Amino acid sequence: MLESSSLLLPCVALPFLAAVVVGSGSGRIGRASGWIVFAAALASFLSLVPAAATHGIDRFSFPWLPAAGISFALRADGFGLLLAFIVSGIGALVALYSTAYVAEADPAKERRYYAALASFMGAMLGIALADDLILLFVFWEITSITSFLLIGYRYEDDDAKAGALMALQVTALGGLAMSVGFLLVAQVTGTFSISAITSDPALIAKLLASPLCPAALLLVLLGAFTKSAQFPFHFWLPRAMVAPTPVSAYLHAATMVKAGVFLLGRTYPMFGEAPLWAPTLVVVGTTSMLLGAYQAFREIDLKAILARTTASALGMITLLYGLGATTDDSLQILNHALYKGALFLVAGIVEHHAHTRRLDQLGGLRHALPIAFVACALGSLSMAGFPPLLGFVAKDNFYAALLHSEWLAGTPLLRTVVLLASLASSALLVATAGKLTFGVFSGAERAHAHGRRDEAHADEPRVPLWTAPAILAGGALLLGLASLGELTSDLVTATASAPEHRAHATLLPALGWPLFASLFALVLGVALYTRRDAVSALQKRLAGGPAASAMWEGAMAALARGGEAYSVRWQNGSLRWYLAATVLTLPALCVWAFSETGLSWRQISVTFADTPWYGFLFCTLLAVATIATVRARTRLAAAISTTTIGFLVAMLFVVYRSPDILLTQLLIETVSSIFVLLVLVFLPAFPARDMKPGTQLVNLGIAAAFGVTITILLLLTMTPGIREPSNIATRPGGLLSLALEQGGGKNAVNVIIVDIRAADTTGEITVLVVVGLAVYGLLRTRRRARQQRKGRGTRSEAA
Amino acid sequence: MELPLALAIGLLFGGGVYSILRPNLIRMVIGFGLISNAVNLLMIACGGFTLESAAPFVSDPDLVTGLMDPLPPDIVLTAIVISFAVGALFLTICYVVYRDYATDDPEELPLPVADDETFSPPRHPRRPMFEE
Repeated sequence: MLESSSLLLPCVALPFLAAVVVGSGSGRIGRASGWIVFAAALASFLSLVPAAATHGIDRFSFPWLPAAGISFALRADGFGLLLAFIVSGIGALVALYSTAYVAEADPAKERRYYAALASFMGAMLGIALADDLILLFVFWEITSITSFLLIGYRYEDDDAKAGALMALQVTALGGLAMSVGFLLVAQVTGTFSISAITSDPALIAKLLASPLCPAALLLVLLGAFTKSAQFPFHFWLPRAMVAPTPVSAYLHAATMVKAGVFLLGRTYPMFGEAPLWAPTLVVVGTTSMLLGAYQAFREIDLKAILARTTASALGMITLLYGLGATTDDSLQILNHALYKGALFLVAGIVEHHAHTRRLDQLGGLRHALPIAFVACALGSLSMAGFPPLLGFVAKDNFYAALLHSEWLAGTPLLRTVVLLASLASSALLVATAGKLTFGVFSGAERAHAHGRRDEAHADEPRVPLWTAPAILAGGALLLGLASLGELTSDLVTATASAPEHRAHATLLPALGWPLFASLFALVLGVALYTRRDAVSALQKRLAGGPAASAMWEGAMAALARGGEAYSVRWQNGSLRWYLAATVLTLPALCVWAFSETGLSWRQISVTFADTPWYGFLFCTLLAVATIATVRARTRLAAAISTTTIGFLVAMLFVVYRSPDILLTQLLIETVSSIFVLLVLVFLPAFPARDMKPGTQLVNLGIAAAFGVTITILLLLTMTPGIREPSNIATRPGGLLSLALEQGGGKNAVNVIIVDIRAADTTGEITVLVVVGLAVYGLLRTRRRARQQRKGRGTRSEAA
Repeated sequence: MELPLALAIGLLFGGGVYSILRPNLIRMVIGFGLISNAVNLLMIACGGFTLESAAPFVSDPDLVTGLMDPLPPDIVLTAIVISFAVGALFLTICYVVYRDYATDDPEELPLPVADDETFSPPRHPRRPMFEE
């Protein structure tokens, strides 16, 4: 279904196009790269407006892999549009901010940065709008890869490399798990289309009833939890803070980490009723929320604080999805994107100005950076949940969802724990917000910051730097004020993932427990802030215990060591070793198969009884010739006994009445005898002794195991009762009749070769031609290799 | 007929495997030839023939019950030709290797040189994979 009016494809494609232009552009593009990406983001943002304005749901789709039922399907429902607007809007602001922030001496490096940023933006837009599980997965993986490039932007720094690698490992692991989950979903429901599944109650019921449902659910959740840095995968986010600050603001506050909770919202209609959904999400979400808030208060690095609070806020959203609060999830996502984006960008301005991000070295910047101060104050107030900002509205709705949840009401103990954890983490966030704003901007300006102030960057354009955080923080304030009226409620309802009824987002909530809880958390938070030194001292005393990121690194290192040990042991480059392993696999598999099926050599009932005298004769001669070949001490003896074997095999073909292969064997054996004798002239004599006695014994054992296994298998195949006689060829109308009637030849073997299996024969001729060409080519090569390699070590010398 | 043939095939396989495990290129090629012959015989031996069945020459489409199955000899025919081709290629390689490196022991051939400088060889190799 192609709709000419749909702008969804250009919306997703434009950032990728910009990435190509910027990435492949020459020096002429130079410093304009940031503006190109800014323009692309703005264009994507505007191209979403028609989709938002239409009354129906805008779609775009064309068959991608029709045979597999996979289509390139985009669908702009309210929830997807919300994320798409956030991605393109904040993307434009971040590109603008970057033009002032990322000033590299090397334009090529700058171009790489913008190309990765733009690709990331396109992939995030794809995630927001994808309506096909596989398409969603593809975009998901692109965000993992581009985020790896962006986090590792300062790749000269070891920390940057390690942080980027860890983010990639964790998110790619989750992405792979998620893809398996998607495949399971598609296997049960028979479609990859998200909207087709979620709009069909029968399909959802089928999915929930399937025994694969718990596995699919957990795998998809693994994808969401790793992406959103939820416990126990929370550790990669602080490590990713080595990224340039605009990247942190964009990826790790506003968009990429949102992909995880976005996935929860997308899959809630499928899995929401599954028995595992609520407990898993509530437990993981609550743990992440509390842990994030606790760790945030402990940090002193600005960006680390923000990373921890992000994990905490995402934990809160995960908890809400666990409770099924899909009516106002868009409020939480939007709120977090606005204030956290603003705070990160302020952190970037502060770092740019003061050359440090450590709270203990900052202070008194309110005069130097007044706009950043206001933006930071607004963002912090929103994070803490003070009125009249949007954060207050969001926090109130959060407590309302918590206290009105029927599921939680059924488990009083868990309800108490979750409620206490929520109050504690809200209070900790309030205290952290206070620490952040007052720590950086109030008090006396520190000597350290003052001394280096404005030396390097005094003449740089400041407008792009402060525009972005000002807009974001202003948005948090304006939407908060707008919730006095109906505007915010309308917006939240229109963009919720699965609105059951109209959302209530208001600055003036009714008196009740949610409001009391919200206010109590504020008071508690202020109290914590005033006693912050005591709290910090307590946290220091409690510090210790295993660090999750160290455990992960340990696990990765163990994996690498395991892989290396495996390679050294099994992939050691010795041909003999590979051959022995391959050959020994057959007897090993047979022993296993025999024990599984109950077959044994005792069932063999073949005897010598019906063997004619010439059968004995030929087989005995064959055995003698084989032994003679193996034991031959000279090349000539080996060649002659090999030829003897060939002719004896031909005689056995006579016994089995196969004139065609008899003739072929005779011809080929003659030709190859001549060829062998011809080549042997140029080759050295056999060494008197080429193996140690021990090696000889081992080889003999391997050979015997293989030969005995083959013999037993063959005899079992010949035993009547085990073999089921087939007469596909010899029944009337079978291959033999077919050869005469349709092939028109009396010799069935010939007819099959040239007619029924003609393609095989063509392949055989091709092999001969290729071998002929290869032999010719090999013989024409000069001896250059020997001269080139002279002086280098050999395998045995190196060993 | 089956029992002696099966024993001979087993011996052929055993001899072939023993030969390809030896550190000598020519013996490896000969071992390959032994295994090829063994496989061809195996196809025929388990093709369901009896000594009473006649060669697959058909004169009447309705009188085919006493004849042999023509498929195994067909496949063997292809296999004979291909194993000859591969054997010829192996022999040529033996010749070129001996001409260029003056050895007929595959373990004595020089190690491939790692092109990638960042490649780090295993720490305690049983046999080094690349020349250092």
